[in-house]
Amino acid sequence: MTHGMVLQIPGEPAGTWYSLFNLYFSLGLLVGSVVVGMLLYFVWKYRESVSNESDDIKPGVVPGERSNIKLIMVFFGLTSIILFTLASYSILVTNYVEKVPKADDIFEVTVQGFQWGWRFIYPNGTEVVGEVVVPKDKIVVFRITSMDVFHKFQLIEFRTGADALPGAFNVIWIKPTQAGTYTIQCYELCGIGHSLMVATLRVV
Amino acid sequence: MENKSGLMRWLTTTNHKDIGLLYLVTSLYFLMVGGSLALTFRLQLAFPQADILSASAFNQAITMHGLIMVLWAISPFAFAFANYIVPIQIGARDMAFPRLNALSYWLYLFSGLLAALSFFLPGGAPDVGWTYYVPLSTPKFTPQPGVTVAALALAMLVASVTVGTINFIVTIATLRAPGMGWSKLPMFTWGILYTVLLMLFAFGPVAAGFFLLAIDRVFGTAFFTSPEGGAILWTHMFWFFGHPEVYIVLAPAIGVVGDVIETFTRKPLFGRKYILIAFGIASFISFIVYVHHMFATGINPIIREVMSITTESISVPFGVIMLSFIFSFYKARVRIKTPLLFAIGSIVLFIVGGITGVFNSSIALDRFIRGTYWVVAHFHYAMVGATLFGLLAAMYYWYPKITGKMYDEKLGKIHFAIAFIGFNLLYFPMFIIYEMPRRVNTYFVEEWIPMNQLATLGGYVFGFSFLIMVYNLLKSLKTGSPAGNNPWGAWTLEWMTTSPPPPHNFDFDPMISGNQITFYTNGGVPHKHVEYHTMMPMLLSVSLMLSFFGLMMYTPLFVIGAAMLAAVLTKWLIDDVYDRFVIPEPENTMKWPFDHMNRLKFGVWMLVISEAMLFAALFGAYSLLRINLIGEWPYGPAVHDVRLGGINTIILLTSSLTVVLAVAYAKMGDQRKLLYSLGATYILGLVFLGLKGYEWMKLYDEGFTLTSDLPSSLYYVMTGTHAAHMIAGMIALTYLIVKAFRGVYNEKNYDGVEAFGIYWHFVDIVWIFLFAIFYLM
Repeated sequence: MTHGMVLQIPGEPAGTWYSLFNLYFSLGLLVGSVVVGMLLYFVWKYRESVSNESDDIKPGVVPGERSNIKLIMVFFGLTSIILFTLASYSILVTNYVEKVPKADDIFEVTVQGFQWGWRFIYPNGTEVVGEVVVPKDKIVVFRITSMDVFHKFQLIEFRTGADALPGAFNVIWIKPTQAGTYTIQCYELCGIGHSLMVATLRVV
Repeated sequence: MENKSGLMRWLTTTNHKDIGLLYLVTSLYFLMVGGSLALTFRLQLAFPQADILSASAFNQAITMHGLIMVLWAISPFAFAFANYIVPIQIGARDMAFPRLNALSYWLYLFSGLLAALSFFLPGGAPDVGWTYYVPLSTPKFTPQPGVTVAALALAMLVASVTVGTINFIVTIATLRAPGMGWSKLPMFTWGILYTVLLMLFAFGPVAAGFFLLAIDRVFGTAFFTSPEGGAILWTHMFWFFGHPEVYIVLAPAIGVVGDVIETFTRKPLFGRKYILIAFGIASFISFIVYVHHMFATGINPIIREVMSITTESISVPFGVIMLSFIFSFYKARVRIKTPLLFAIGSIVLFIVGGITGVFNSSIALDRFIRGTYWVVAHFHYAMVGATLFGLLAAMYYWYPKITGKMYDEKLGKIHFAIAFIGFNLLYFPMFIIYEMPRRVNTYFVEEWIPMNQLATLGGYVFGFSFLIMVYNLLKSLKTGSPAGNNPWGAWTLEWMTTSPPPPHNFDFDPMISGNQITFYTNGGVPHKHVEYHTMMPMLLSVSLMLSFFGLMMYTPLFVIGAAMLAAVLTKWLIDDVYDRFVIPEPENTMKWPFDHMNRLKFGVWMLVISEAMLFAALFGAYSLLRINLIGEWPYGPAVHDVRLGGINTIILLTSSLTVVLAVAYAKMGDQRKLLYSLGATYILGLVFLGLKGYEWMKLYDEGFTLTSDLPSSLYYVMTGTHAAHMIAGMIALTYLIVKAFRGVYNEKNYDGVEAFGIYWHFVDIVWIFLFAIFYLM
């Protein structure tokens, strides 16, 4: 299992997910530190004991406007540019994640969430509960539904998931490149067995 | 009426400052309840596979923690200050509707107690998560009565919020001191104005959602158990409210932070105008971002992509607001006092919460992040960090005004330091273990243990910091030095009266000429204060709580509650008929946008907007179900009697006409014709309801019942809701007729009739839509 920022990418879309996450993370960290740093610097630099500035707040007098439209436009422009950058990359990645890649031999598994476990139905009709075995280096598609309440089918290490809703099917795909055992878990509160609604994904 | 003392004063008060204090104490109580629940489940999570709370107890604890904190603790904490401070900040003597203000409070208190009562019912409190996701919250999966009782409590809270919302909008719009234009309103009042405007549009839909859920649970309809409605319908109805709710919680804190920065940097807020514009834009956008809570549900990809972009873009106005706040410190004279420390804390934590929230706007990232601790950490930074720290700033900022005593500054700073450290110790580790699922009571991954333990430790440190505050504030009540009128040298109106202010706020009404706040001299005769006391708001809330509780648990209690409700309503109206509770319209106010807009009329307009949102949500549910049931939905004329429905439509439209006549005759002062037109309206209403009842009975005979299928359920629910609105209107009409008999309406006083007319026309318009979608389509 991977933790925190430790990267052990078991396949797609985890790799792409991390590249997007890291972009958001580094830009967010940069912006956050600059902005918080600026705030603390101003507070310290203009603290009353050393500040030479005038006191412009008088009881009973409505203060005037203090603004600088150019600076406000800079605020507006900077936040817009940052968010536009993030949004553009996010849209590209979203299209990639949401569209099952074209391939000749797609391995499709139907997933049924129930209180409290996961049932997997293989292409040949075999039904298994609790563990699903999928081939390495192939596109694996999960068609996810629920037999009772709202669940969320989450492939933790592959950084993808979808809600499991009764009467509907949601589709996600992965392409495992590392053989191994991975965790499937329910990520939407579904009753008293929610914490134990775990299954295993085995890539061979 | 006479002044009351002791307990009776608090039970009967309608003074906004008393009500503010009641809100303060009650919200702190609920904060403590919600906090204790959190400390309990944090203990459970400190050790993997711990056995402190069972899975069921754990789920109850997290559900009630969420419900109580979001609905009964943090927003009402803000409304404690809103009640106390806003009327003074705008120079008013009280709220526009003091008695309804008391009603808001008592509905809030008893709805909270009703929700908390569910802990003691068989099966316990709701254990479905505060988001009440269906189908889990339908009776098949959670049959225990607690789930329904808490849903009914929520409906009661929505009533409280709606009444409060209308009251604040009317107060701020019509009771400002002369010369106090919109650009001169203090930031806190602006923050509350944005809050209530958001509430006006957000709470109707969630009320509709919980209403449908309650009908599913009590009568066995299938709105949320069928796949055609089900989870998707619920998430739409819930999150349309749920996302704006974040800004509802946040807006008062932004207002407080604005006022506090202005006072303690000794400079006008930087870019004040742009902050307000930005918040206006953000408020609007907040209604079209909610699908980001549903990215993983598999709904239409285009809607998802659009709402992903709107979600990203909502960060832009918040970026402008935060940067403006930060630049307010540039070239200022910063006085570092406890309120400012909390305000700075609020900004810093909001920046963390805001940036980490941008991650959720990305569909690709959110597909994984939804349901993880990343989300928990993010929204606690926004809702606890930004909001609670902002409101704690308010607590210290206005404490000297409210009590007349200064708190202990050193203890205040210690509180801030411990709270800030505790908070970050509590929530920052959750970002590090972001892949952990939320709402699990146990986990098996060893690497998650240290961060969970750190979070638990932080939770206890954060909780402990509140004890310091309580100690400080209680101690300072006795030993604090006198605060004086304006200890901070602030400019706003609340600092231009005594601490604590007199019951009527100002001896002489304030006004603003140019930038100068002055007071009317009124020939040297100070304003004479009249106290209004009534126990009806409290009794009404108690009877509502009893009937809801009885409805689920014990039928005789329901009967008692309902009888009491009827008695209280009657007494309330009788008080009005005999003018026992008349608050004169103050002369010295700034009105907008209409010079002659009277409080009552303005209030009814706001009520109509709120009810329109409720019906809009029901119409939305209709559209979704009808689209999903295409081909199976019966053609209207095949089921319903178009001729009978048409006759009923004409009857109702005629009653609109008679109301128009009533208003005209009231304006003319023609008492007899006024009575005739009101009477005709009443009879037409009765005929409509009678025909409606006949139709229902006929449909039942044909096997078209409440639970037979989705189209029939929706028909009964929507026409039933409409009929309930008509009955409410006819109760008001009865009251008008009694008053008209007494001859109170004339050329000068016809607002009551006019206000009723607005409501009645609205109810008629709703029917036209209902007729179209059920009978004709």
